[in-house]
Amino acid sequence: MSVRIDSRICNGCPDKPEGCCEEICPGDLFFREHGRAVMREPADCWDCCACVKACPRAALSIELPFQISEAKLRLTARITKNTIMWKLFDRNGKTIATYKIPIRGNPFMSKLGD
Amino acid sequence: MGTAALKVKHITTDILIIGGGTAGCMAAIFARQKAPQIDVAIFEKAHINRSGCLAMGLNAVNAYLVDSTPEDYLRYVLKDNYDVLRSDLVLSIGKRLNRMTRLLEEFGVPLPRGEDGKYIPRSARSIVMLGEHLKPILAQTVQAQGVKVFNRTPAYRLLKSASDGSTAGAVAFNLRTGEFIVARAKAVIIATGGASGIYRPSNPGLARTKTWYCAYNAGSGLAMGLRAGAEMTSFEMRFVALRTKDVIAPTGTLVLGTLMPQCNARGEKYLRAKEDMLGRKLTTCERLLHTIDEHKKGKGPCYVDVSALSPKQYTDLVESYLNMAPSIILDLLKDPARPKERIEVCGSEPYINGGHGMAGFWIDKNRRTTLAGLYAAGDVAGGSSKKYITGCFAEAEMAVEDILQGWGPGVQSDVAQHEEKQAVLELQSPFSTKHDITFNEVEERLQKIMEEYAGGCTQNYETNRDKLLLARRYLFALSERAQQMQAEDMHELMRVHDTADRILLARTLVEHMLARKETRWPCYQTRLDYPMRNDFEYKLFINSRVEDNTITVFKRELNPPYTPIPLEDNK
Repeated sequence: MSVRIDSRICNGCPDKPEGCCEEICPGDLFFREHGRAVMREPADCWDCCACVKACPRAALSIELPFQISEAKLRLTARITKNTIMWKLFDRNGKTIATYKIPIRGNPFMSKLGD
Repeated sequence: MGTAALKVKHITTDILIIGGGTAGCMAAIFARQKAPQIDVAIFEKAHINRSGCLAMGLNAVNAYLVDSTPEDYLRYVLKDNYDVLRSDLVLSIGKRLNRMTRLLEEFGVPLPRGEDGKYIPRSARSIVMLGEHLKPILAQTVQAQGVKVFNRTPAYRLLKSASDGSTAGAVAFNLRTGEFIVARAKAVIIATGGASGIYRPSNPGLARTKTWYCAYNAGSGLAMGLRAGAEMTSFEMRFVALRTKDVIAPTGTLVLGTLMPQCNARGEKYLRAKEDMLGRKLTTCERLLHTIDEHKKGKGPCYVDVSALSPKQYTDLVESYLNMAPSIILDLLKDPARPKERIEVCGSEPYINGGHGMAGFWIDKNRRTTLAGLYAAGDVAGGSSKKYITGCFAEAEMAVEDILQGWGPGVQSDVAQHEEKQAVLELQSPFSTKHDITFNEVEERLQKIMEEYAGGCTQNYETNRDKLLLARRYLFALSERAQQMQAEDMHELMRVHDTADRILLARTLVEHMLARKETRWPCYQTRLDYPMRNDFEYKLFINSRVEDNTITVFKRELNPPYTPIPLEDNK
C-alpha cells in the first residue's frame, strides 16, 4: 500500500491504450477497473515512484506502509521538461515541503574550462 | 487457457539484447552507433523508461576515477575482494570508466561541476550526479538510435542453433498481448541483472518488497544461462548492502555525501576506531561485519549521526535522496519540525549480483560467456566487483565491439522447430488446470529456507555445512513441487517463472557455499565451520554448470588459463 491512488482525481487515462501508471510500473502492478487505476498486489510495490512521476493528474502519491511508519506522510512528484517538483504532505494534506531539482540538460557546462 | 489459445510470433534480428536496463540500453546504443546497418532488438521485462536498477534514479557515479588510474582502481577492488577476482576484467573496465561518465553528460544527464570546472567528488572513485532522469534519458537515446524495443516482454529460455549449437535466440512472452515471442538472432547479449527475492525480506507485510536491489530482478538471465549449460562463477560471494534501516536506502549518500560519522548506540565512532587500530581503510564487507559485531556486543543499534549538518546541508541531503531513493524522505521528515538526526543502519537481505559483488556468468575478456554466440554485460556478468553503472556501460561496449569484429552478412541461425515448440510449451505450462500451488507460497517457502539455513540477515549472514546440506535437500524438494505452480493470467505467468528461476539460483548458490570451505568475505560469505580465510586452498574461483539436470561445482585457478580443478563430491 505504498502507493495511494486518489480515486477522485484518477480518471483512468481514458484516451490511452493503457493507464500511464499501468504502462510504466516496473512491477506490472496496475490495471484499470471501472475507469480507475487499481494496484493488483500492493505488497509487491518497490516504492520506486515511477507511477507517481508518470501520472498526468497527480492522482498518485507514495506513503510508507504502516508496518514501518505510522506518520502517514505522502510524497508526490511532477515532472516538467527540465525539472522535477516534489511535494511532501502531512496526514491532513497540508504541504510540509517542496523541492525543485534539475533533471536534464547541463546547467554546469558553462563552467567548463574548454 | 489451453494450448489451443496459444499465440506464437516469430521475429528475427541481428543482435538480441535481453534486458533493457543499465547494460542493455547501453549495448543497444553502442551497437547502433558503431554499426547503423545492424538490426538491434531489446526484450524488456517492464517498460524501458523506468526499468531495472535505475528506475528510481541515481545520485552518484560510483565508478569514476578522480585523479587516479585504472591500475589504482584494480588495486582497490583487489584489496576489497581479498585478492579473488578477475584482474583482466576489472582493469578493462577501469580503462573505460571516465569515458563512460562523459557519455552520460553528452546524453543530457546533469553532472554538477565545481568552481574549478571539475566534477564534484564524493570520494576517490565517486562523483555527484543529478540522476533522477537517468533511465528515461537512456531510454530516449535507445529510441533515437532506432532500436526495436519490446516492452513487457520477459524472456525465460535461450535457443540453440541446430547445426552448431551456438546461441541463436530466445523465447519470451508479451504480458499485454499474451503472445509467445520466438526471436532468432546472430548474437545474443544477456543483461538481465542480478537477483533479489532469494532471501526473506527484512520488512513485513505490505513493506515486504522494500528491498535495496531492484525487487523485479529475478535473475532470469542467470537461470536461462544455467539451463542452457553456461558456466557461472562466485555465486557464494553474495552481496549484502549496508543500508538505512526499514526504508533500505543507500548509506553512501550519508557517509560519502555528507562525511558524517557512523556510530554505535553509545555514540562511539566504531568504524573510525577500527580503521585507526588497523592503520588502513576497512573493506566494504568489514564495514558491515563490524556493524553486526557492535550489535552482538550489545552496543547496537548503529546509526549515521547527521546532527552536525546545517539546515542547507540537510536540504542537500534530502534532495540527493529524492534523486535515488525518495521514500526515505517520508522517514527523515516524519517530524518536519525536527528532521531525523540519527539514521539507523543495518544490513540488507543478501543478493546475487555481479555489479557490486562478482556473482554471475563466467566470461572472457570480450564478455563472451562459455556458450558460443552468448555475451553477458552488467550485473549478470561475474568475476569483477564494483563496476556500478559506468562499469556496466563499459562491459556493454566491449561485448558489442567483439560482436562487430568481423561482422559479415552471415545467415540467420537455424533453430530446430521442436526446440522452439518445447520452450513455448514449458513456458505456458503453468496455465494447466492441474497445477495447484501459488507462486506466493513457493516464494515464501524459498525465502524461509534460504534465510534460516543459508545465512540470511537474521542469522548474521552465517551458516555451516550441516545447515547448507539441509538447505540443499529442502530446496530440491521445493523445486520438484514448484513445477505445479499455477498462473491465471500473463502477470502471474511472469511471477511463476521468476519464482522458478529464483529457486534454481538458490540451489546453485547453496552448492557454491558448500564448496568454499573457508570464510573469505565476512558476511557475504561466512562459514562458521571454517571461520578463517584459507589462501593456501581457496585463493581461487568456485564455478558451476548444470549438466544433465544436476548442478556441478568445480574450482578454477585464480590466474590464466584458469585451469579447472574438479571436486570429488560437494559436501
